[in-house]
Amino acid sequence: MSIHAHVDEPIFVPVDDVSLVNDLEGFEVGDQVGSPLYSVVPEHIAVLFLLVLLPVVVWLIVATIRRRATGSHERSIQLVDGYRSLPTARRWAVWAVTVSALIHGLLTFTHEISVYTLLYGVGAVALGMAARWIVLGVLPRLTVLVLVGSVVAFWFLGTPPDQVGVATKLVEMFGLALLVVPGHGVKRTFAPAGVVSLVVVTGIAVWIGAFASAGEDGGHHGGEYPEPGTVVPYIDRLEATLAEQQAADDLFDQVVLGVAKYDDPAVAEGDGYNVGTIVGRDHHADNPAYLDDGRILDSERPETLVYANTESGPVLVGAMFQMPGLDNPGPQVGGPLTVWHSHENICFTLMPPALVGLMSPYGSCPIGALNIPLTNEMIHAWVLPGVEDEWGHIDDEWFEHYIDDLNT
Amino acid sequence: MSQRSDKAVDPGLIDVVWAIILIQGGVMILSAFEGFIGGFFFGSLPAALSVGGLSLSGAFLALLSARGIRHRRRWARRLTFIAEWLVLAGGLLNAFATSLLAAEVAGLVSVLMTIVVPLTVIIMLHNLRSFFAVDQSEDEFGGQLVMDLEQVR
Repeated sequence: MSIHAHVDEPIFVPVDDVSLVNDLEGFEVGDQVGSPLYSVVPEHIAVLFLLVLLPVVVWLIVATIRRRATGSHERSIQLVDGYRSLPTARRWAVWAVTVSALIHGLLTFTHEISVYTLLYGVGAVALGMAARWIVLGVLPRLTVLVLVGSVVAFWFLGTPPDQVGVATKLVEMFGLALLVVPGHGVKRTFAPAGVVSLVVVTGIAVWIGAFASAGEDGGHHGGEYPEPGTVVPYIDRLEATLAEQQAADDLFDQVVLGVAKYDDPAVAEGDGYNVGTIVGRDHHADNPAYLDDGRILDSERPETLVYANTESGPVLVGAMFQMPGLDNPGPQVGGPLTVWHSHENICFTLMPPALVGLMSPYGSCPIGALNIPLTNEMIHAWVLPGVEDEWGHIDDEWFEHYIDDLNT
Repeated sequence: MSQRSDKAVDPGLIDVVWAIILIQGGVMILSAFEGFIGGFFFGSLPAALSVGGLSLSGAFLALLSARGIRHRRRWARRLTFIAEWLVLAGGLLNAFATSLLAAEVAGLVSVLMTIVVPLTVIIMLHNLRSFFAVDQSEDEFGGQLVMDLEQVR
């Protein structure tokens, strides 16, 4: 027997004995949780309001300084005179650094009191001072040091990196680039190359931070931030009920039996799976005829099979079930044991047709690739004997040993 | 273009455009790494080489253009125009696809880097066009040394 249902008849498993163990804050049941890399963490949402109000804030700053300057306030007069004498690039640099200082200042108040509060405060003051130094034309090296220091600090302290963090660093690096325009002031032969390098290394650091802040199993089970490119529904508990455990076990046994016939890729090919040449250990072979056949979680007809290429031949690693359409959440047959996931911001190229990664922290795919913002929901069942996490993430180390044993 | 409107445009904006393209060059170098690594990881070496190679070429052209823009080369302005229009078109397409498929607004950084920034550069370069008119003797890709406006002055 296989479990399958039409889209309008989702499988329903009654839930009791709920234990609240989820530490993710700012989400509710029904929300989709993706990597902060492609979103804004709750503590940073205030910055979006600041950006909307930025013209007003800038006007207020300018009007205040001008009014004080007309009132013979010495420091304000220096600022007004200094700003007027600046070349255009420096003026833009002043505003780039000022915007970053404002964002840091605002974030001081939006986080719970911790060492980060202090660091944001220090950053706001330092960047504010740097903007003033640019206007007054003093301490150019220290100004550059403050900007570089703010960016480098983000490499180590900005986890999990989110859109506000990356945007702020881009503004700072833009300000830095404006300070090293060739021909202004001291000789800066290698400074532009330094800015380009800073952009590249910051991007790499953001990638590392984004993956490092994801859950242990890539966040596939919910309750933690998933790795970049993966989206999971928010769940408010991680422990399954006995009924859910039984339902998940039953379904898994059915899947193992149902796909056993596809141990031989030729059989799968004959049933319409696009097996092709099996490459690597995560080779997905989909069956277009099963993608929209109205059957959900049909253990006899999974939408995709997963094979690994080994020295002793292809091995069926698992099956992947997919929901039709983008707005259809998969049935949580085993509650938190069977959490479906989707993918976001995948880069796809037609030269030749293939996935080539995820959207960059800087918001674009490589040239020649297009961004796929969201996929339909899917869930994997790993059918190898002895696998620990049947519905989640296959452990890489365990998998290596398994393949090694097969080869020997 | 009238003399009056020429005076209204600040030539110092050329340095701002230069700084933006410098950042874009860095972004494209990172994209090239991502293309090579991501493509290889997903098991498609030809795809990795094509998008990685394209991004690396794009980065090289961007940094070359940045240099040309500072020296007020017309080829650099034209090349930047084309590149920014392509980035803008891709950004708008992505924003449209994101709202259509994911029912969400495109990310802050994505909007900034693929819509706001290219639009800013396009507008600036359009307004600065008269400052790129001095080197008509150069060849299309700047192979000849031409005195730039600062040297003429």
